[in-house]
Amino acid sequence: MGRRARAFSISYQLPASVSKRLMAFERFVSRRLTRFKDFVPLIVVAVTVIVPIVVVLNSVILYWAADPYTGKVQGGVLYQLFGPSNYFASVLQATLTSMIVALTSTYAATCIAIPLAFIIERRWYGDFIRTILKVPLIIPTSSLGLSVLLLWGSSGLNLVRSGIWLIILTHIVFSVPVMVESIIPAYEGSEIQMYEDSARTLGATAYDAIETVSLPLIKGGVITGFILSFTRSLGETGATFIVMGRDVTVPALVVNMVEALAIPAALFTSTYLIALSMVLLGIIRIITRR
Amino acid sequence: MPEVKLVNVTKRYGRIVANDDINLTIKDGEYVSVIGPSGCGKTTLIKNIAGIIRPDQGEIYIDGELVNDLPIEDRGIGYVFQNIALFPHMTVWGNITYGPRVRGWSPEETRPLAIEMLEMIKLSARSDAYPSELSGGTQQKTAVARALISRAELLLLDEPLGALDIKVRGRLRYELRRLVKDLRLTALHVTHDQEEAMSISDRVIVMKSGRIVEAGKPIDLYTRPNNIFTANFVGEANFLKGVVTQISDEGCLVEVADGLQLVTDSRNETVGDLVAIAFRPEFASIGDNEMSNKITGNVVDVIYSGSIARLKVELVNGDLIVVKKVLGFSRTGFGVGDSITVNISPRNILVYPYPKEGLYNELALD
Amino acid sequence: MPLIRLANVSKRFGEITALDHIDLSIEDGEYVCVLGPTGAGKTTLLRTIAGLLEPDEGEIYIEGRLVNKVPPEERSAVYMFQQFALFPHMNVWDNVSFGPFIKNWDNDKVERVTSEILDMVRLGGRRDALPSELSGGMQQRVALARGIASGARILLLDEPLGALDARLRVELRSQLRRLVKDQGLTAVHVTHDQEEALMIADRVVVLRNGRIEQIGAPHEVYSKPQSIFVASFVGGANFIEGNVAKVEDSGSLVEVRGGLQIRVSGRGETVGERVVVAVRLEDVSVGSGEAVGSNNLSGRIESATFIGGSIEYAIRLENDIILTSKIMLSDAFKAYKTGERVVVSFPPDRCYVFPYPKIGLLKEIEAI
Repeated sequence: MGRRARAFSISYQLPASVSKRLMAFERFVSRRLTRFKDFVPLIVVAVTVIVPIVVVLNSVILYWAADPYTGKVQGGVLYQLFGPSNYFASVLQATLTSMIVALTSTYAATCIAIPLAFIIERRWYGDFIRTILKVPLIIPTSSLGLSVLLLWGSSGLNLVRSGIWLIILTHIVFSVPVMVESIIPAYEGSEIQMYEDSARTLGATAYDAIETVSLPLIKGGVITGFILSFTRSLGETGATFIVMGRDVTVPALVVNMVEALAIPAALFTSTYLIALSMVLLGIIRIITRR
Repeated sequence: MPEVKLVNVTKRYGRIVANDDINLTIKDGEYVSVIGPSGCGKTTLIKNIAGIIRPDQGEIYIDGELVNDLPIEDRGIGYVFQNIALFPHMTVWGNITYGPRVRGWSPEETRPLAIEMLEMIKLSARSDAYPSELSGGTQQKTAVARALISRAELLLLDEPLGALDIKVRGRLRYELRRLVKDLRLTALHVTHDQEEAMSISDRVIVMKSGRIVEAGKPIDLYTRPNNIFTANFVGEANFLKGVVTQISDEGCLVEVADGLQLVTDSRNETVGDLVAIAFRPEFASIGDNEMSNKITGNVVDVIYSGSIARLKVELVNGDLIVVKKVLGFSRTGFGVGDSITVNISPRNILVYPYPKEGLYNELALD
Repeated sequence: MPLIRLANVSKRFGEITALDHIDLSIEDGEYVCVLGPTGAGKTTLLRTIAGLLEPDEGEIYIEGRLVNKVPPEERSAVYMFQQFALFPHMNVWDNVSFGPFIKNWDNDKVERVTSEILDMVRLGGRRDALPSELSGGMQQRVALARGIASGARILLLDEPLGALDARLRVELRSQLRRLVKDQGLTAVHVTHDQEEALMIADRVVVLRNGRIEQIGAPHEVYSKPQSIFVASFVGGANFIEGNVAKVEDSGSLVEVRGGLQIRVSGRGETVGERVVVAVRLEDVSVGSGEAVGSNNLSGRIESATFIGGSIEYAIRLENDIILTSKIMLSDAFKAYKTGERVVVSFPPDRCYVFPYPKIGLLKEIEAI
């Protein structure tokens, strides 16, 4: 639109007839179509979220006993899970791994992110730190995994061997920025400095004040960050793949299954992952509602 | 022993000098208010004393002890914030008992004190309420109780009534003073409302642009302000530019317009001085009587406000003055265009050297 | 035909009734103040007129047409927030020209109108400044200018002077009124400051708990309050409870605590009725001498508080009632000291008589 060329000063303008027609159109949409404004988001959600889930679920049911096209039992979900390949055991093992990784890395990321958020808000170099923290979010996850592996693994400092610890470390790296970005709006919206000063005039040391007053006030941001990081960790494949070694997480297992052409098993595991995430999210919500 | 003493305290924010070489002593048990326009540095002053910020220069003594390096929590003060700052995630009880809890006092010690505080502010029945459920006035009282429970002897109030309705402010301010006096505390109360300060303080300090302009008892600041800014900021005042034409033992004569000379009892001037004279609207009496200082003019506006009318009078040289009149059963009896004569006795005329930047700039509150 | 008319307007938020059957007419060019304590519904009323809220019941007419379903941008009324709500990322010029700009007026017209108005509020020299660089008073003027420049006929002002210092408020009051009147606009100005309302309004609407308690010109609302609330909220008063002892043509006698009797001008009381007599602080005069005649009572000064241009005395009468007197300082002023014996008096026709409130006098006053 010509008229918004530079923060409201008119440097370029459309011909009057066009701009009048545009205005009339804008007003029409704004007035008449308000009824539909609630529909559109719902439709978007339906298309992008619900439909894929339904499709996957549908396939699992179709392929349950046997491949519906060939009739071969080996092409059925049950066979692949409980037959010779015994994918079911792998699924259970992977679940354990995923949970441990997600919980540990998110918890550790929280412990790192909260002090970091405070530093970012209170020090002159805070903005700089915040910018750097965005890097893990930008670079491809596989590169992230590779860099972690090279630094901490056998070819580098050799402090951490491949496996679950490396996965956890990698997940911490991309969870911290997510946490920090969730905490900062909560911090800025809460007048934290004023409440802290208030607590200190009442006799609290700086640390006491943070613990008893500031932290409860940013609770919302922490919870949001926790959920975001947790779910991301559950579903992450890019970096996990590179660092995992023999410990496998559920999403990585799905990839493995697909490569081994055990598609029904992969479909089942995907559905399983969705169900697992929902259950865990539900639990987190119940805990934090208190 | 003076309770609070500031020596040459200066605080800068970039190029702005918020506190400029402040020297101040507040005596034990005094209720002192600091007033001034926005940006005059009064909040910076109180934050310096609290320890929330540190002065760039100068020393602050509380009860004889140098506190510059003492952290906030060790200064033994109670602080009430402008936006009340009750912890939203705690109940009234939680807020009030916060201080003792965080200082490690036992519940047995804290309980009776909290109950006493709640009694004093008449909130015993609502100790389980959250701040968001309370009215503004109640929140404010809770904040004060919270500040006082740890037996702090110095109470610092930063626009404590700012968030409240005018009517509630008018009531609560007397309760504040009563509380402070009953508990024998020393109080420093920052406000932009000069009426509030005048009605409850032992002493009032007027600040402008980082400096203390004047300090004194409310009635003295009102009747005999030493500084022209105080004359304008405290109460209402009319200002007229003039030249001193005669001096004598009893005072001086100031010519403010052609043919209009005012007799004053000010003895600090010399003939030829350029001055600004000030008098309060309430001291101008309407009518023609034998006293000296008769001013005539035309009424150009009448503004009613409850039981008082303010008459805007235009003098012969175009200057405007305001005269206040208490309304009787009728209206003032004056309408726009009417001619009016007022009298002011010499002792009610204040004389100041004419400000270098002109009256408008000197008195600007903006 | 009134410019704005509200007929039976109600608005509820869950269980709370913010507006309760409001009937109100505002004429073109009027400066109306809506006065009331926090929570009275003043902001809700303003936002309903603006179209930011839709009433649950009742009709709103602007310029004669029903506007209940008309969105804010088409109502010719501009809403001004207490916190000014200046667009922080735009300078003074862009803020003020926003209204005309968004309505797609001609460039020339936008230029002209914006310049004119900026000069009117004396901010022509600061058109490039950002809001954060301006003082409170200047920001308020920019907000006003922006509202006026939008071409609206009605200004809806939500505590426009509330964010300013006490002194600045007093100074800007008359400027605000003059600006509105010079432009020929209609203003609905919400405030909790009764002094402000009395000084600035053509008419005052006293609101309490969503209901209109009284409407009238300032001096009417001040000198003829129709309820205890209005008497207390607008101007303040002493309240004394008692029983009507005698009713005569010239007035009534009310017997109060300790057998003391107060003479009031008759207003239709009945003997034996329990009433509350209200006397304004400014109507109680203090003097020395003997207490002779109606409404001259002796007592002792309990406290004397100096408040800028006046002195407030609390006088304890012989029956232990405390009366407050507010006396403006003057040249011939004599100050009484605490403990001094004085005589207070107040004229019968300055006493307002109200029926004793059902919830009790103390509760009624406390609620204010």
